[in-house]
Amino acid sequence: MKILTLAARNLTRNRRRSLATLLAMTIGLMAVLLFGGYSGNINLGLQTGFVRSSGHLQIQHRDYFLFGSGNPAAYGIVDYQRLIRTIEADPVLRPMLTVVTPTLSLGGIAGNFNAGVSRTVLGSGVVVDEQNQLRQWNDYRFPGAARLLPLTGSAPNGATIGTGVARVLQLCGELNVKHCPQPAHEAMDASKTATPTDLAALGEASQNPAAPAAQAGARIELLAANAHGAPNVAALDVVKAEQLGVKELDDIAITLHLRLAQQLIYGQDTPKVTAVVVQLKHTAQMPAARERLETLLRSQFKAQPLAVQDFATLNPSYGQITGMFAAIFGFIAILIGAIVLFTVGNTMNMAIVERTVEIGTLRAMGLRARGIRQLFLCEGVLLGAASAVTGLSLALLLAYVINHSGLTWMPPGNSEPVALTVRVWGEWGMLLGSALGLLLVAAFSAWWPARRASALNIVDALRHA
Amino acid sequence: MSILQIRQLNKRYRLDDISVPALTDIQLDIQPNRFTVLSGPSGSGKTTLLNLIGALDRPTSGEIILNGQPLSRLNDDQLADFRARQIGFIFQNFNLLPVLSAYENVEYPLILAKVPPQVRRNRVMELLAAVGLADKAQHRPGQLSGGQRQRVAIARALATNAQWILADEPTANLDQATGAAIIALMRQMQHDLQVSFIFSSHDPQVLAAADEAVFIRDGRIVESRTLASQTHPERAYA
Repeated sequence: MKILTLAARNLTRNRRRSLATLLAMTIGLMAVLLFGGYSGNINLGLQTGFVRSSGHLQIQHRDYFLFGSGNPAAYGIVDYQRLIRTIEADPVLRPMLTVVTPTLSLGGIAGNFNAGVSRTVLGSGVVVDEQNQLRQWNDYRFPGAARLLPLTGSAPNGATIGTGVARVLQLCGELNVKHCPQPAHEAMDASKTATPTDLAALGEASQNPAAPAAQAGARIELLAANAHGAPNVAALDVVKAEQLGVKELDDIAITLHLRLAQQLIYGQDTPKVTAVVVQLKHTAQMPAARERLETLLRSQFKAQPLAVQDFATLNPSYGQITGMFAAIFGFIAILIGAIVLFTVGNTMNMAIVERTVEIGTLRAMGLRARGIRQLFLCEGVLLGAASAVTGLSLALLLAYVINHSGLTWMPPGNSEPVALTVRVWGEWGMLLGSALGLLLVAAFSAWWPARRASALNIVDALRHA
Repeated sequence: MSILQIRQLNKRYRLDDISVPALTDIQLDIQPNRFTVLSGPSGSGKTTLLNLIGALDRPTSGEIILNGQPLSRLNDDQLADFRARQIGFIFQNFNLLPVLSAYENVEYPLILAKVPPQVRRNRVMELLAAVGLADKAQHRPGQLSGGQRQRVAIARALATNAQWILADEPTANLDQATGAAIIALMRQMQHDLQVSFIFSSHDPQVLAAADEAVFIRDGRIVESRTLASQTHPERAYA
């Protein structure tokens, strides 16, 4: 009769109590795993969103991240095409890369002078095809296809704006923006606010003469200071107003083709960009890629003070959100751990009271105190192991059901609902860690009663009624 | 030469702030291969003495020497090992492990004594046959009568070839006929296996079967005598 067999049989003596304990631990583990899978999924979803929009790494002027928003043009990267070619041709980096693409950030004032309104905006000049490639990144296999940029296939002077910009510029009607309130005042007389002739002339001058006519939407003027500080204007055909999920961004964002953005800022000068976005196949490659990029910058681009920034640095909210979920997960895990601790402890204490005479008998037969400790510890660990197996199985099953139920939810900062999924299968670290954690807590909570049982006076135990 | 020697044994219990004497100045030699009864009224100290002999408890002072081994020199683990090898216990309430079958209950002390599996099997079946329960080997205690349970307990006590079997009121929870059968069985086993039985009992049937009787009253031995072997049981239980 091995101690394990005896422990297993003892657990079946009070089936209802053992089952209740097992159920409490199973549900606890299941809750931890499902929440862990849910928050893990959010973290990966968030990471996917950031990597799709801004890549894993960005090469920028060393000071751009801290000071660049005040004057992006002053922090441009010279000879960025060579930098991109060098990266793409590098034998170390090449196998890791999916996309390397330039972007140019700019600040300016967007105006709808037909309505007599304007507002400051933060623009981004992009290479549309490469941005669309960026958006295909799906290393964590999220369901659904990535949406293409609305700029795709648009004229060279095409642009997209946030819905907040559309609202302020009173373009909701032209751009078919839903739920867009109109200002109720009399200062809407368009005849009084036609585009000033000087601005109109500037806008026309900056247009590419070969550009085709706008396909649809509304026309705005974007006024920006060029690299020399002089004003420049681009006339843009807005193809769509996008809901960007965050009001602050909606109220300020404008996206346009890189070439037009460069013309606006650098005119006939050598065009520059404010960042070279590097997207990798896997996030885990980031440290190696970063190290290699820094080596390349030091060796081949030492004339420019360039730096490599990762997506977490560029998007501080990523760390804040993942940190928040980690804290909630930790709190729930501690809570469940405490419940398990007391449930198993209580079960073991009850068992000791009921089996006091038996403990005395075993000791009388020659079982050492350590043997009694092992017996009760074994019972606790067995309960923990059984709960771990059932908890893991049920969590996987429930996760499968949830993932295939078609449920959706609206994450903060999103403009569209996303599928409600929990990532449990494949998260071996979490699965193993939670199961081992449960076992440890069960063992720990059985240890104290086991110690008490082993310390019982034999004669008192045999006399126990 | 006696195997069990008890020298100036005292045992006191603490009840709150009061120290209560349970045994006082016990001097006793018990011969091997005998049926010895510790007898006396309830609270006289016979079970306390049996517990001390069985190394389940430690005396306040004095010494017990069993098979030449002074028990006071053994630590807790050594005492456990000593019990596993040298002593078998039979309890008033049988104290079988309810989750184990009759076979497994008898086997358990052999496992503690690290006896190889094949030897264990043979020994268990031999003992179950000797107590007349070979056909009940797979029955759990809950499926056995009181008498059958006590038979399993006797087989368990004898399993490790212990030379000393200590029985605390072994017939107290049995009816008279069953009690008599159990006494007869123990007597038979004692004779066949040449082991020493020490009982705590005030059952006249047990006294009637005993070779030696030690009478205890108020924690002191008042009389120790060799009995006239079952001829005057009423005299023994005075």
